Amino acid sequence: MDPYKVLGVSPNASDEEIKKAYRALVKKYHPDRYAQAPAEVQKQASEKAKEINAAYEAIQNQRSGKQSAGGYGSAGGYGGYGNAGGYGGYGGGYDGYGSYGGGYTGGGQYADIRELLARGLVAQAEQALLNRSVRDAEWHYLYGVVCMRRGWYDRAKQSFETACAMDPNNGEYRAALEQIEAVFQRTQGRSFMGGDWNQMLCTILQCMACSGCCGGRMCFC
Amino acid sequence: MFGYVRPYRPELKLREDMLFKAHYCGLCRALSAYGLPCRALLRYDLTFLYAVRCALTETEPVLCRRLCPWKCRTVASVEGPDAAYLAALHVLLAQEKCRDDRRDGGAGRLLSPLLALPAQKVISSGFGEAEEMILRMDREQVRLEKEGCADLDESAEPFSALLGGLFAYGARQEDAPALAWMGRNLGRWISWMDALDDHRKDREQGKYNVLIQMGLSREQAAERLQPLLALCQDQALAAWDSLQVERNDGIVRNVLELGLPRAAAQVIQERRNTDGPL
Repeated sequence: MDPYKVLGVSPNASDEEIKKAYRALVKKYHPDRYAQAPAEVQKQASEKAKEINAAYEAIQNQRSGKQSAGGYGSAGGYGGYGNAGGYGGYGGGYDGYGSYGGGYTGGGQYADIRELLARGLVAQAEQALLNRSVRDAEWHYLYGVVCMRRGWYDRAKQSFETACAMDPNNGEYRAALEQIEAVFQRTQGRSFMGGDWNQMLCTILQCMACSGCCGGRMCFC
Repeated sequence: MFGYVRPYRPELKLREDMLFKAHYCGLCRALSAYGLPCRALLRYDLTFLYAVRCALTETEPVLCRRLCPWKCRTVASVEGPDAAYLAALHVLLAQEKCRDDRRDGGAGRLLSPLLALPAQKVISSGFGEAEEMILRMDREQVRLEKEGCADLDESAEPFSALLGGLFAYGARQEDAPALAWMGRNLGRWISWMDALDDHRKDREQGKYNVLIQMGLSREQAAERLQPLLALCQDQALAAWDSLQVERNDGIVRNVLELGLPRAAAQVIQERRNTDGPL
């Protein structure tokens, strides 16, 4: 497939434009975004990510080949896009997606549950959690992960909050909670990208100091 | 319950706006199979689902001009393979609304006899499985209301599961999981929006509402729901991004990225919808 088409850019696009398009797409298919999605959806996203990485690499190779004589100065810049290595995690059989709860380093008493979560066995992980009598911070965090994967966002948020309250210094728990907050901030930013027309009209009319009389009747906010 | 899932038209390209209208008209035409009055059941959220399904079909939907009996002129109309399914869904969901209104004493109960025949026709046309899903959701909803469910996730689960099932129903195997995930998230989003929108009315009329059951004021409920609505929207969009889309990307993206947050903001701030009809 045409790598430029994959990145959604014209073959005449500048290096900067290509890099920008690539970064946007990498962000779009980032494992964190699909952490709670079903395994099949994660797999589809992973395939798309692989396709994007391959397309970007192909363009890079193509362009550096073309321009090597002229000293493709910014090639080093691409290499410096260190995150690409991180995104390469997509290639690793999609384990990166399970790492939301599965990327645990130590053994610990919840290793079996983290293993189940990493394999996408959410129902079994939930059952195993509910069978535990001790409900410490990690338990609440893992229950939050289970809830996220089931789409039970309210319980998930509450569980992450409880985990953070019980162990405020744990980066993993805080990151999970911050991720929810980040989604909220992102969607808020996007929602008024186009602006609320009535509010805009109202603001304009207020500037004209007449929103109380005739202007007020023209808008409904 | 429906009507929140619609595009933010000022941000649609003219071509996309025309196409969305054409999907709407295509569905209206498909609905005529169940009699002229059934065309009045047309709704935006199912038009959105029609646009989603048309975006994924291998055979390109036909864009043609048809005579509209309401406008008395020809209009652009999209005729895709899923139009019959979406038309059937209109009838089944309208019947479900009537069932719900019969329990609550709402006005919709009066329409019930009018829908009996079309609904029968839908079931005999091979959409019995969709009807089964709706009935399952109805039973679950009634059970939760009887038990006075005070859990946000549990209360939204029946409709979320229903929409997940309906989005994926009859879709290509490779698209079904993402469509189901998209439907599940939109179902949850609609359930919560509906609960927030009806908060005042339900309090006055003493009807069941999960937010009231949880002891939340409207302001507290709005604050609690905001990040959750954003999560639903983000995951519906993520599901869409993971699909191999053939067409209609601009329309669907507009609805998910701009239409949903706009509708949410309108409900949260109790502003009325001033978008007007298509």
